[in-house]
Amino acid sequence: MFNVSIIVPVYKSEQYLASCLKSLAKQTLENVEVIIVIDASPDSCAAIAGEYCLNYPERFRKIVLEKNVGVSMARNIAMQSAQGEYIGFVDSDDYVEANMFELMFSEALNSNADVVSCQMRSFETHDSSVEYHNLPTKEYYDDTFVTNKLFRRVYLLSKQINFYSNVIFEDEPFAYTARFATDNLAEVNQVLYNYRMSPEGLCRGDNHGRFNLYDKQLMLARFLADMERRGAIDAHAEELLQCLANHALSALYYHISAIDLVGFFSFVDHLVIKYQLLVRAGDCSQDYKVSRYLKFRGSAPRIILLSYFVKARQAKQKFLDNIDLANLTAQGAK
Amino acid sequence: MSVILNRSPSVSIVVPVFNTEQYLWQCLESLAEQSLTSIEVIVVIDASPDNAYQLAKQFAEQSNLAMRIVNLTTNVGLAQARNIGMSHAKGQYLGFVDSDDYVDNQMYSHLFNQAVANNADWVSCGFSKFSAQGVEQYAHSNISENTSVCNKLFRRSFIHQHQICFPAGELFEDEIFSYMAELYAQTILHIENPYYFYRHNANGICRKPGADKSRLYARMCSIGDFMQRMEQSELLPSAAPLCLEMLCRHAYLQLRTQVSWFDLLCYWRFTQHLIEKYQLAQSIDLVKDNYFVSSFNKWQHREWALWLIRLRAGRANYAVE
Repeated sequence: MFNVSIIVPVYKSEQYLASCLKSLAKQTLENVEVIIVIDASPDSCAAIAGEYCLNYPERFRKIVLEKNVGVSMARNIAMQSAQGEYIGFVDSDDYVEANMFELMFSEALNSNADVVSCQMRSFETHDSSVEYHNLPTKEYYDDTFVTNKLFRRVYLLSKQINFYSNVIFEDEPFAYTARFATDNLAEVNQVLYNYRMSPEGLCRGDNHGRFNLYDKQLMLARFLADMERRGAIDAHAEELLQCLANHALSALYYHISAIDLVGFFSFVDHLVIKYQLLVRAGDCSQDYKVSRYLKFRGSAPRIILLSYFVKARQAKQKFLDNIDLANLTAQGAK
Repeated sequence: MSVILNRSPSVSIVVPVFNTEQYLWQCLESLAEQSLTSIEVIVVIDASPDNAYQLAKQFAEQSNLAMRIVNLTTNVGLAQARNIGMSHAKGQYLGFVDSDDYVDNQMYSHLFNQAVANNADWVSCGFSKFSAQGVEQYAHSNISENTSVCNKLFRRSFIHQHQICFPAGELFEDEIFSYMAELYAQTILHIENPYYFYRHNANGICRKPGADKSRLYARMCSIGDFMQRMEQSELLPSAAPLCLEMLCRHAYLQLRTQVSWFDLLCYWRFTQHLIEKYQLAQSIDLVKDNYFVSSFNKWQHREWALWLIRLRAGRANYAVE
């Protein structure tokens, strides 16, 4: 049996795949298997993956899907054939530190944990430089990734935790569910995972703002229904309320019409009322996100004004950043 | 005492019971009076807080009806109660009756004979809605308007083979079951006779105007689940026209509920999202004659007009479902 199975779903990432797989080949933890799922990717990904399978047959293997099933189903399929004691997920355009899985696995063993997390940072490549930012993972609603975690395989199986198919933000319900269903959590307080910010990424395209928002409604509805089914709401009402409040507030930044925005708030409201989160969570007025959400939820004009305000602030920040960047370039030219 | 049949009955009827003690007796009597004799009734008491269980027991002692009572101690909801009832069924065919309704004494012999004669996967009949105000008859053969499971008889092996069951949830359990049955079936038969009597409760919990808004949003959740189920069962490309009809029908029917224009817009936009997400618009030519599809298509981008349509529809004062 392997110590860790690393699952890498691959779709249209030929530019980045090699650096991702290279970072996995360099892992200092020896007894790992890397399962590459080629999700009917139309580019040369299968060939790149094939090279690694040939060069490191004891570590890399690939599953080639003929029909595109999306990242969630690709991960679910790989999980079925994973044999490691723990499972990790790496996205095919990212890369990880060489000691990531060694540190995570030994922490998992030390604390006999079902879920182990580490820190993550984003990186953005400019012409000659790379810009890094540490990603916030302190709050539950910030740490919605599965890529910075190890999950005990039998634990996922026994709790029947899988990725929701064909819905946006598939990581989030998985990460929440996995942490809600156990008390054995552990942490490695180091930045071990590098997450690529791509300017043309799906989530950031303006055209997709509206689609994503409505898809988020589907995801949140399923997530809360699932939590209810698992009987997890009473113990975690506060985190769930924060999660919903955070989603509502983040919609303020979407490029969507006022009706869609207020509609999203009303949908979130429906979930809060339906699952009685305000009652079950007790007093959350200290929480920044929740208190902001509660302040604005009932009033459409205030929600719309707030969205103009945050977007203006965002535009101002971007403007200032551009000036800084121009100054830096000018200094560099000197 | 209940009769134990030597061989498997022709028809099993599942009757889920929750808070319906005042109607249960009439319901069971109508089943005991069926002209079809090879029949078993499975009553699932879904932790009903009233005296329904005692009543059902008493009925079983008095009547010759082959009856099994499943007494659940925790409430599981209509969908799950029916699933549990189904798991006890032994009949060649399977029917469902709600415990506040009743049926004509010819219903199951007619449906069963027709089903066997035509080797049908399922058969449906017409139904009547009755209330204190009177009776209305319906005979729909189009599945998007004939979504109840109560006016139907399903071959049990067919249900079993395709693993059709009721999804847990608060809405649409009938619709999902019926759609699955429609999509998998080879042979379906419709009989026009209105054999099933459906109690239309104008003052029921479902009809309170204040509850319409929360039902609207709950419907969004359920309809999203429905589409996902369709996709997962890999029925979707072929089921796309049906799904389109269903989505448009529900969107249009929301015009007749007591929700604000804004909530209505949210619902219509959510419907648009599902149509986009599951690429249903490609099938629009196949169902463009459907009233709901053409209406939705016509009005979806003229949202201001919804306000006017809603006024008119409100006056027509139709039943919502």
